[in-house]
Amino acid sequence: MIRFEDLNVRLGGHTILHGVDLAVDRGGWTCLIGPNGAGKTTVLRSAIGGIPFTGRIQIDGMKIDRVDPSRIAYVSQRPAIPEGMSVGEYVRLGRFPFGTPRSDQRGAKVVADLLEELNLDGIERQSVTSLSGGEFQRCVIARALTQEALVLLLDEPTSALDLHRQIEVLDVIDRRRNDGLTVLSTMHDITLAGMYADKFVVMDRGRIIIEGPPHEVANSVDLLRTFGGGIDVLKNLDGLPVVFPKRETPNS
Amino acid sequence: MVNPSVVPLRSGIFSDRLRARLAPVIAVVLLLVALLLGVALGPVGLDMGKIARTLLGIHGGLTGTDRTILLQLRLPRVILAALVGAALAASGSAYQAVFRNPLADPYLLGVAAGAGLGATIAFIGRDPGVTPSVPIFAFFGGIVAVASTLIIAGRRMNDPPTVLLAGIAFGAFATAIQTFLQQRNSAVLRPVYSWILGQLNGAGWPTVIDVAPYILLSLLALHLLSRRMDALLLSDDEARSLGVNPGRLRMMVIVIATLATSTAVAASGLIGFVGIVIPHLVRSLTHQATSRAISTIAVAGAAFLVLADLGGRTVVSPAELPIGVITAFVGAPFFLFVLRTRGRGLV
Amino acid sequence: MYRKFNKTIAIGAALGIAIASLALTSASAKTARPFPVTIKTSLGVLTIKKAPKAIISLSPTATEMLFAIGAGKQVLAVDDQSNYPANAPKSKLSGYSPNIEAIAGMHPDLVIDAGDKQGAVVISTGLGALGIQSIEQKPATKMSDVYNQIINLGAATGHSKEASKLVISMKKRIAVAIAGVKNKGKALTFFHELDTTPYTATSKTFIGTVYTAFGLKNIADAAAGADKSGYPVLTNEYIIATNPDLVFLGDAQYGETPESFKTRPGFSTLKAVQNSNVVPLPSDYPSRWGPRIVNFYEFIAKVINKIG
Repeated sequence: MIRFEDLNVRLGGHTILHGVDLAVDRGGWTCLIGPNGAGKTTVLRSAIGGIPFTGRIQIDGMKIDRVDPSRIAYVSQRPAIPEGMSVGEYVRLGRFPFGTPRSDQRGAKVVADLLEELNLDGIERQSVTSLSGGEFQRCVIARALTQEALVLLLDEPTSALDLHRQIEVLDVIDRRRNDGLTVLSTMHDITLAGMYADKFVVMDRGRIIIEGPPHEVANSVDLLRTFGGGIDVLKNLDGLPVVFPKRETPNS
Repeated sequence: MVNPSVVPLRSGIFSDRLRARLAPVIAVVLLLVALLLGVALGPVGLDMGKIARTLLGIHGGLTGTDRTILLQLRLPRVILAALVGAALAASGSAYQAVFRNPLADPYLLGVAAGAGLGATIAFIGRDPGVTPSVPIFAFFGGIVAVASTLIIAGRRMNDPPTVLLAGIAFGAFATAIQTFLQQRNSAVLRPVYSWILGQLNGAGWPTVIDVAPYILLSLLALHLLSRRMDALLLSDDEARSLGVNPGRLRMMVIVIATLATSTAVAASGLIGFVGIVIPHLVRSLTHQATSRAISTIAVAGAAFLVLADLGGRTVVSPAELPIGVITAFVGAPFFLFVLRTRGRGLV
Repeated sequence: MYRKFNKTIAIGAALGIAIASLALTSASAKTARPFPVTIKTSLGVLTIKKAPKAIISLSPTATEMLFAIGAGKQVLAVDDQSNYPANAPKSKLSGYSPNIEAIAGMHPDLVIDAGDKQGAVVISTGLGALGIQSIEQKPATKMSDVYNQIINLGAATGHSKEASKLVISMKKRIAVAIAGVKNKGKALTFFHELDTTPYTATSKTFIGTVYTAFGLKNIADAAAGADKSGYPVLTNEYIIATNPDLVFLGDAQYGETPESFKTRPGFSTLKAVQNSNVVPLPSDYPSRWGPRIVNFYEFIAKVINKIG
């Protein structure tokens, strides 16, 4: 569904991405993992037109510059918090590509359903600036989902959510893969990512190091090397990888 | 689930949808009332019945100087006040969306300083035989100011904070030149000062005819763009994913709003507070944060300025108070109120 | 007996000499030696020891006064706005924002300024520290101020006689002008325009008093409360409603003409416009209070007689 070929990005004299090749199939969920500065966010931003690049990006076989950008939904790592808007108004912004409220007949229902799914219906009329970090992050994801896009780009979508909410939110996204939603995300929490993604892509300093199913990549030497040996990898009761940072205690 | 320390404000008999529908209607009614008061009241008392008959063109209306006052002075003046008020309020709202800053006003990018400098140059150059027009110089002063600001901002012209700073820098520069010129031409101090405070005293039909097309076109353009301006409330990347080109939209809105503001300033001098107070007031009453309220804001701005102008010519009658004084008097306390309620998470 | 007689003669002679010399000194004080002279100024009392020969005038009105009383030859330099008389030694000095160093650098022995300075700088202290005397002559609020200033300058420059003569002649000419219109002025209303805002001047101002002397009624007086110093802004509506008989364009020197006045909305209906009674004032009349103010009186008398 979404394909990056030989993606190069240069900014301010530095090369941020060196010839990145990446593909995500329809209904698939690929997660980019790697240290800070690896270029993960840049890959996402290049798909939404926020950054000049060389190379090719295709969505559903069409070149990116001929694709209607509203077919790509984007959850930013640092979303803007607009003044003077309610939760309902903010989430409804996602329906913008569908025209005025009068012409968008399905819009009201789509928004209402999503507010309920993400447990935002109780605070629908509250001002967005008064929300907690977690509440607002759920709003951002709700807004992105009301867009009913083909591709969903998620940049650290759970950073402000508590353990329970993380699963709740990611479940909502996961369900939509059955309707054909394709997801490309970046997440620092590799364990959590491993519960949902069907492919991991490890990046470091603008290049892809290794890619493959989560349990293979998690246990690979390349991942260990990428994080400078500072991680430990175990398996949980369901056989999924559990990755956590290793701390050097004085007695070890 | 609900944050207990913040009380949701949106309860009450008027639901949001009702407010959104009622607001434009109320604004229009307010404008009509203001226009009526504007032509009826003034330093010279005129009979309401005769006014109505004169306007409807039927027998028994005003005659002589009274008729001249109504048709040549009050009517164009009131219409001009409405146009200028609408232009300033709508431009203020547009700038607030573009710069994602609720305190932005139409004079933000140096328009005020540039227009003031243009007007000063025009007042100075008034030699017998060569009389450069103040409105034209003020208009171009405003346009040149914004263009210079964007040039100063350079490649970063799509970064709102950078443009704001460039506007401040240019404004300071233009003001310095203006002050210098005034020092060397002390005779123009009084007329320039009075112009800066804003007034519609000398307005007549020619001014209205000059000004109306630009302002009405700008208002129409802003109305058509208002839906897209919603996307500017989000970060640029998020706006792109909604299908909007934020850089291009921002530039278009700035150009249109600058045109409207410069035209208004050319006609009436610098009238402050309308561009900040009215958008806030309308948004907080209608609970419409999005730019769709821009037409209601324009109409409300028109009503406000018509009433302020009425104040300007009746409070110290038969002398004139500069209209900028009235708008500041009403605007400043309101502004403080807005600042205080912002922090409480109220809309 | 001899001793008694000598004593009387001695006392008498002494008395006689004393009286004679007293008479002589007072006579010379009045004619041959006018200096040193003490004059009262707005900043206090000033003693001028000898006739100043290098006067700098920073006030166009003071310049006119100096030349009118015959002290022109003692004037070293005048400010950049002093355009009358034409042969006055104009310099680049500014009376509006004076530069003390520049003034002192010309080595004057007396400086006269109008006190109407931007930033309210009192240059007398600065000049005083450099040993230069100065006289401040603020804008007049009534005719007696004008006469007093002329007399003061006469005393300061050693031209008291000419100054007195000038004052007498001015008073006479003004009286003749006023008498010449008989009572026609009392029946007329007028509007004096300072600029196109329109700022106007009430009867409280100096120029207002000139009009009042003829009995003319100033439409600005209804707005007198709006500005303490007497310069309110009028609404155009009001001007049309009161429909003054006469309009005086004080801004003619800035390019306003009866034609441009006519084009303002509604003004073509004014009777002053229709009867061609919109009068441009010659430059300097509205802003000076010197000897030529008499010309202004005579000018107004002519205008009134033309209508009446």
